[in-house]
Amino acid sequence: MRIVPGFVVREVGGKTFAVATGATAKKFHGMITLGGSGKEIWEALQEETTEEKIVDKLLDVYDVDRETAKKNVTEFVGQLRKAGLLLE
Amino acid sequence: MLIVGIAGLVIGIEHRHPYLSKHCTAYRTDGTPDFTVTVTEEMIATEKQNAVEFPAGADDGYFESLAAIREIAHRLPTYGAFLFHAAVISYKGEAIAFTAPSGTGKSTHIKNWKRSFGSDVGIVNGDKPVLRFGEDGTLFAYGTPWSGKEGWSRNVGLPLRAVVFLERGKENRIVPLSPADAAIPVMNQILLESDPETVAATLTLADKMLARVGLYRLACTPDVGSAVVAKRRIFGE
Repeated sequence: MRIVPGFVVREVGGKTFAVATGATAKKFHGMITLGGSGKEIWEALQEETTEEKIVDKLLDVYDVDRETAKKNVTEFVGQLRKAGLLLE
Repeated sequence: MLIVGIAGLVIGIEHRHPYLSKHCTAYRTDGTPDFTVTVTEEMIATEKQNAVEFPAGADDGYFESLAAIREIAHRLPTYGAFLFHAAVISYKGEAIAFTAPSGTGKSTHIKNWKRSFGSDVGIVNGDKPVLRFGEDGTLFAYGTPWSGKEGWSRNVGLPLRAVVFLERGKENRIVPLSPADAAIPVMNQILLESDPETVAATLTLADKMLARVGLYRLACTPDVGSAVVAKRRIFGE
């Protein structure tokens, strides 16, 4: 899986925003704020990956147990999937 | 072609209905446009389709004017400018922008400023001002012909001192916000449907804006005292 193309990611006021552009903006209105591990998960989804691989990445960056990292990834990926923002 | 001057830019508008020329009377100018937008029948149809409000007498000319400002808004970020959905007033030569969900009492609050401070207060724009950075980094708020149902519009550009997010309260209370606290409310007032380059430029401008101007949340009553409380905090006088 990977994120649909067309998002622009920028820091605004110290918060990270992902905003849909072009054709993606016609399907998805609004913006996503990426907080905490959301940034790394988003980054990882720029290329073809799996939940398992993203969890491994988070474990490299954060001092958390696999259980917690897995929960974060499943939740975030679930939200993206629900919004139709994943190519699988 | 209609030629207007907005925010120091000369803008050409190719259009077909007479409404737009009349609507822009106070902003008409001549010279070579910095850029030109063309409004198509398709754009007018889209505006009509997506309209939330149909003011009395809203015809194709009215929807053409909405399509025109949308097209203009897409071009502004290239010039260090963007459309910011807010009502802007001036106080002693500086601008203050107020944003609020409709029905919060934005118009009432602005009238309270006028009532409290008389000729020190003026209107800049009631709905769709343009914000643009000057060469020295000052952010200016400019009037536009698109000024909302009150028709509050003045063709001026003034340094923007503060952005105030209004909400209803049982008493008048104003608190400063950090750029991080204000980031989402600010983004909600900016049109972001565009191509990647324009969106990126807009986000960069929004980030600069948050670092530059005063940011406040004001819980306010309809009472005239709401303006006194806000002015004291924003201007320290």
